[in-house]
Amino acid sequence: MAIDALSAPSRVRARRFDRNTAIQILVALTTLALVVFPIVPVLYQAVLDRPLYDANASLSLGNFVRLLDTPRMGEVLQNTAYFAVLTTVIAQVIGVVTAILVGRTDIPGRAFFGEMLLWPLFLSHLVIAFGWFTMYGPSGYVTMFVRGIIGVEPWNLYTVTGMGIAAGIAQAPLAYLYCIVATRNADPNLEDAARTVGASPFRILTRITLPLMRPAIIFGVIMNFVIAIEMLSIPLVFGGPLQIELFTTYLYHEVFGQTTPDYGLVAAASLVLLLLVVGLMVLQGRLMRNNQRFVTVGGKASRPRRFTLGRWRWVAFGVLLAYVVLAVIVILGGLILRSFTVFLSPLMPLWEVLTFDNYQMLLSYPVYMRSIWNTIAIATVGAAIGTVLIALVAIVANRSEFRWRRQLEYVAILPRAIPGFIAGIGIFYAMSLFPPLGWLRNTIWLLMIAYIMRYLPTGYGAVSPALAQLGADLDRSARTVGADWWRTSRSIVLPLLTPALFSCYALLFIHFLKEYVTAVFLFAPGSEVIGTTMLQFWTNGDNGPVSALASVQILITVVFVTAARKILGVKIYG
Amino acid sequence: MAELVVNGLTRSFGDVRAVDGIDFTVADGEFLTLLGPSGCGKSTTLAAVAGLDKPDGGRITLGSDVFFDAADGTFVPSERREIGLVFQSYALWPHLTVRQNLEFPLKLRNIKRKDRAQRIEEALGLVEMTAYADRYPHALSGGQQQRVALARTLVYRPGLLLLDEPLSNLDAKLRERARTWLRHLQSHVRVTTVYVTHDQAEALALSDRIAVMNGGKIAQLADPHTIYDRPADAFIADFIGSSNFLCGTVTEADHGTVKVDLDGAAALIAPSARPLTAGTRVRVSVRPEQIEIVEPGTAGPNVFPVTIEERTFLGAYNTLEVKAGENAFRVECRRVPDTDMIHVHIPETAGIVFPETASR
Repeated sequence: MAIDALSAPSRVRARRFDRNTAIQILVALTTLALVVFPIVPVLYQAVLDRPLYDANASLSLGNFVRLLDTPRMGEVLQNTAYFAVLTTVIAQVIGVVTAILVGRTDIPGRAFFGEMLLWPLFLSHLVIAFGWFTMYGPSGYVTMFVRGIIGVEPWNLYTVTGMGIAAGIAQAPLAYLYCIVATRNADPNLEDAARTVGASPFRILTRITLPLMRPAIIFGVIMNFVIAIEMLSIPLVFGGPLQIELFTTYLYHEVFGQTTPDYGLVAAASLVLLLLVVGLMVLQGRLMRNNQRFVTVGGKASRPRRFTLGRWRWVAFGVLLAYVVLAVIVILGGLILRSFTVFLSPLMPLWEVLTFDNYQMLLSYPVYMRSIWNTIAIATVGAAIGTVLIALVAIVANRSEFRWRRQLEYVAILPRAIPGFIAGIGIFYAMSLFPPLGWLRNTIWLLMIAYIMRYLPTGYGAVSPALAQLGADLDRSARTVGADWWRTSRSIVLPLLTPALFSCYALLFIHFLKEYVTAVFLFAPGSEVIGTTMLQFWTNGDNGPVSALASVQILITVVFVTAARKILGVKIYG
Repeated sequence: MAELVVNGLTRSFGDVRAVDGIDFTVADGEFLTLLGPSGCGKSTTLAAVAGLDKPDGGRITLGSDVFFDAADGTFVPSERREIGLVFQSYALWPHLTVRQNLEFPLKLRNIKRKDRAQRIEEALGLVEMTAYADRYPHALSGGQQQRVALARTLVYRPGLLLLDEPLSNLDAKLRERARTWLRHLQSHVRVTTVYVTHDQAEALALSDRIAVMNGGKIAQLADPHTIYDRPADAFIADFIGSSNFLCGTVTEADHGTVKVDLDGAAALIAPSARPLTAGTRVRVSVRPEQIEIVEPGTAGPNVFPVTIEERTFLGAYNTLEVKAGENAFRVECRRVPDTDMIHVHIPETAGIVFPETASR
C-alpha cells in the first residue's frame, strides 16, 4: 500500500515555507512590544530608589511613601476629584440634551447643529483651552466686554469650577456622539408600544427613550471621567497662573519644574494614575456586560419618530443656537481673530490692531515651521503605518488560526487604559532603559511610535466591527480554492475592508494632529510638534504666535476632514 | 484514482459529539449525499473533509493523499488539498467580476494568461454563464451566482467536489431546475462529489448513494431506492418521505412475516426482516401513497374500516387524516370520498416493522 501511495500522482500541493505563522507571530510580537514598551519602565521605576539608569538603584517602596508625604497632595487629589466629577456631569448633561434635541425632536437646523456639536472632537484640547483663554479668560474679549457693561468681573475661569465648566463643554461632544448613535439605533416599536398604551410624549421620553440610552450614557460617563483625570491642557492653562494643581499638572511640574526631576516619585504617581484608569475601565466593562437588556437594534431601516416640540420648537432652537455660538463659534472664531491682531480687546477698534505679524513670525522662526511640518509628517506617515499595523492585528485576531489571537486582541485594546501622559513618561524612561534604542531619541519616529501605541485601540475599534460584518465564507472559499491565509488576507479580506481602513486612517490622522500630551515628555529641539510648541510659547506669554499656530492646526483639520469626506467618502464618527 | 475514504471520523464541541466515529467511502466519480436534519453532523463532516475544521480523531484520504490522520497528527490545510467547495452562501468575492472570481484560483496555480482565459471560457460555458463574465456578483440573480460559484470550483479541476446545501437559497421552481442541471453536469464532469443537504427530495434525485446521518452517526448508507423502500430504522422511515406509524402488538411471527394487532382496530400482516416474538410492541411504517381506498364490501387481509377526520386539497391529490381506533394516519387519494367511513387496504408487502424500543 505504501508503494501504491508513492506511485500514484499526488494532487496535494507541496508545502512551502509557512509564511502565515511567521507573519502572525511577527504582528503579535510587534504589538506586544509596542504596548509593553512604555508600561514596563514605569512599573520598574516606581519601585526603584534611584533613577533607572543608575547602576546602584535598588528595589524600594520609598517612592510611594514620599508621594503620600508630598505637602499639597491632599489638596491636589481633592481638586482632581472635584474637577473630574464636574467635567463629567456638565459634559453628560449637555451631551444627552443636545443628542435628544438633534436626534429625536423636530428642532430646526438639525444638520447644522449635528455638525457644529461634533466639530470640537476634531480639535486638540489645547486649542480649545486657548480659545477659552482668549475669549473668556480674565482679560478675554468676552469677559472684558461684559465687564464694560456691568462694571464687575463677571466670572473667574481661574478656579477649579471654571476649569471644570470649560472642560465639561470641551468634552460634551464625546457624550453627544455616543448618545446620538444610540438615538439612531433605537427601535421605534418600543416607543410606539408606549404610545398605544396611552403614554404622553414626555412620559415616553423619560420612561422609555432615556432608559434605553443608558448604555451610551454609562459608557460616556466613564470615558469622560477618565479623560478629565488625564487632562493636562485646561488645568495647565487655567490653573498655572494661580498655581492650582491637579494630578496631571502636579506631575508636569514635578518633571519640568525641577532641575533634576524625581524619577521615582513621578513613576509612583504615574502608577497610581494608571491603576485608577485601569480600574475605571474594568468597571466600565462590568457595567456594560448586561447591556443586552438595552439592545434594541433590529437591523430595521425605519427610524424612531421625532418628538414634536410645538411652540417650544423655536425656543429650543434659540437656546441651542446660543450654546453653539458661545461654546464653539465664539471660541474658534475668537482664536482665529486673535491670530490676526496685535491685541484683541473690546476697548480697541478692531481695524487698528489687525496685523499679519503673527503669521510672519511663524514663517521667520524655524521652530514654528518645524513643528508644523513635523505634525503634518507624523499625522500623514504615522497614520499610514498605524493603519497597516491595525489592519494586520485585526485580521490576525479575527481571521486566522493563530493560537494567541484572543490575547492579541486584549493587548491591542490595552492602551485605552494607559493615559497619554504615562505613555510619554514610560517611553521616556524606556529610552534610558534600552540604550540600543537611543537613535530614536529626539526624532519624530519616537513620537510616531508613541502615538501609534496610544491610538491602537481607536483604530482597532474602527476596523474590527467592519471585519465582523464580512462573511466568513468569503475567506473560507478563498482557502478552499487554494489561497493560503496571507494570500487570502491580501487578495480578498483587505480589499473588502478598504472603506474601514480609510476611516481608520482618517481617525488616526486627526488624533495624531491634535495629540500633544504624549509628546510633552518626548520632544526635543528638532522634533517639536504644534502642541508642544504652543505650550512652550504660551508659557513665555507669546499669545499672538500661539493663536496663529492654533489657527494653522484648525485649518489643517478643516482641510483634511473636508477632503477625507468629499474625496474618499470616509465616515468619521458615525 | 480519486477515491475519498473517511475512517472513524470524530469531532466534539465541548460535551457534544457532533461527529461520532463515522466511516464511508466515495468511489471515483461517485455522487454521495450526506443527508440529515440540522445538527446531525453532516456539515461538520463536510468541513473536516474540506479542511476548514480540524477533527479530533480518524483519518481522511483522497486517492493516495492523506488529508488528515489523527494517529500521526497529519492535517493538510484546506488550501493545499486541491478540492472544490461550493458554499451555501456562494461566497463569491464581491469586489471581483465573475471572470476575476474564476481567475483567482488559476493565478494561485501559476497558470499562464492564455491558458487561464481558455479555462475560464470552458468553465463558464459549462455552467452557461459566458455572457455574464464581466458582471459583478451583486448584479447576478441567486441562481446565476450559484452557477458561478460552481464554475469557480470546477475551473481548477479539483480532485473532489464538495457542495454545502448549494440549492437551499433558491426558490422552489428554480431549485428543481438546478437539481436536474447539477446532476447532468456532475455525470458529465465525472468528479467525485460529496453533497450535503437536509432536503430528502434533493438527495433522492441527485445521489448515487445517500448517507443518512443522525446524532453524529451514519444511520444508513445505501442507494436512494433502498433508503426509500427499506429504511433501516424508524428515524429514516420518518425522515425520508412522510411515513405513517401504526402502533400495535405482534400476535404471530412467521419466517419473514408478522401479524400485528393494531390495538383492536385491525390486524395487519407485514414483512419483517427481524426475528420478532409474539407480544412485542411495534411500530409499522407505511407510506401514505401505498395505502389504497377500497369499496366498502371488500374483504381480505389488511382491509379495515377508518373514519375521516380531516380532508386537505393539495392540487394534484388530496390527503385524508384518518383514524382507526387510536391510530391516526394519512392517506392519499385523487378523489375525496363523500362518506366519513371508508375502508382502506395496506398491501401485505408495504409495511415495515420496527420494535418500539429501537425507534430513536
